[in-house]
Amino acid sequence: MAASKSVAHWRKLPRTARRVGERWPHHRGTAGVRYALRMFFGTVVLWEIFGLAGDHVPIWALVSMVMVSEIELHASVLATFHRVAHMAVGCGVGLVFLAVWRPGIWQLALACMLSAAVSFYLMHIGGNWRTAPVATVIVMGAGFVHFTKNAGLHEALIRTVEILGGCVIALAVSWAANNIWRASEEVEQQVSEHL
Amino acid sequence: MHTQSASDGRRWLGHFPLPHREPIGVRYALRIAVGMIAVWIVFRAFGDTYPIWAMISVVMVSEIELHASYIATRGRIAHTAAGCAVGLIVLALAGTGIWQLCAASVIASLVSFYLVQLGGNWRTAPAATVVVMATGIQHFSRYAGYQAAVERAVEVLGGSIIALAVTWVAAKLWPARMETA
Repeated sequence: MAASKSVAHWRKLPRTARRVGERWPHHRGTAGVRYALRMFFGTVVLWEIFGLAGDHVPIWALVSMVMVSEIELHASVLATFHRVAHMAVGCGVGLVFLAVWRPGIWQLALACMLSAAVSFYLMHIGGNWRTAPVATVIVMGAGFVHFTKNAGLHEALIRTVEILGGCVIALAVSWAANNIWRASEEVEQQVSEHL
Repeated sequence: MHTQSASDGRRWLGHFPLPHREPIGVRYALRIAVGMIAVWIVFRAFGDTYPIWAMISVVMVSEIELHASYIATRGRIAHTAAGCAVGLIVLALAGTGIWQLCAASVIASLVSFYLVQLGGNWRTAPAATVVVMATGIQHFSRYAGYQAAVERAVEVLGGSIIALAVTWVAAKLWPARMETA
């Protein structure tokens, strides 16, 4: 009865609304909500920790945390480690290039080629290899916004710390959230057994 | 014994890009480098001295196959537009601050994850929102955030289109046998 009523109600809707309803991703479940909550808590934790360290607007740490956050219960820690490894490769290549040469487009292109190739071929760690050249672009960008080499290197080091710090905080939030989620599932199971 | 060590050696060598293997990694690296130089030249001509988001877009969108690159471009542009729009709306309605930043990143995540179904990485939207909102906080000004949103949107659009063009040219000049990685 209820089903036939809802079907009738569905047919009364305008065509556009029905199309939107058909496209609504029911299969995605609550994953998006869980991602969003992790980003919320990750942002707050990151903001406070970097604020204590004197970095009051850690933009790169925030971006890195957003890109690294994961919700898979069993694979999240491993997936985060993969991303951290790629980011570490990219930051390392960027820092070496900045330390050795003056920043320029050819150096940047070469550094990105190198970090992409290293990440693609030598890092058999899974994850997205593109994270490495992205980290290289971010770190080497510091050399372009400062006039002296030392100032550029200093900014590049800050960006590296922000990127890797964002990854570590995303990992910590992911670990804590997984434990809380698992504990809540256990409690739910025990309550249902008692009932 | 000898056979065992030979197979171990082959397995170890298999971890490296030998000449007989399809050099997909080299193709990707070359496309990224060419795309970056193109982005650099184009954006410098318009007065943008370091188009960082355009360069990151080149890295994220470059593909071996043209269709895959088109899908990645479409998704990246859509997610960036969604993220910048959420950032602009929250900035206009609530101003700058850490709680506004958190709320905006949550909204952008939900919008991008559930509504923008055009492929690509949905995380691009919250990343764009975070950049827009954090720039507003950094400069104590909504207008800095508005400017960051417009800059990021333009750079992502330009960088993605240039990467797509590089992929098209490269697919004509050096067609691949293995199309994915």
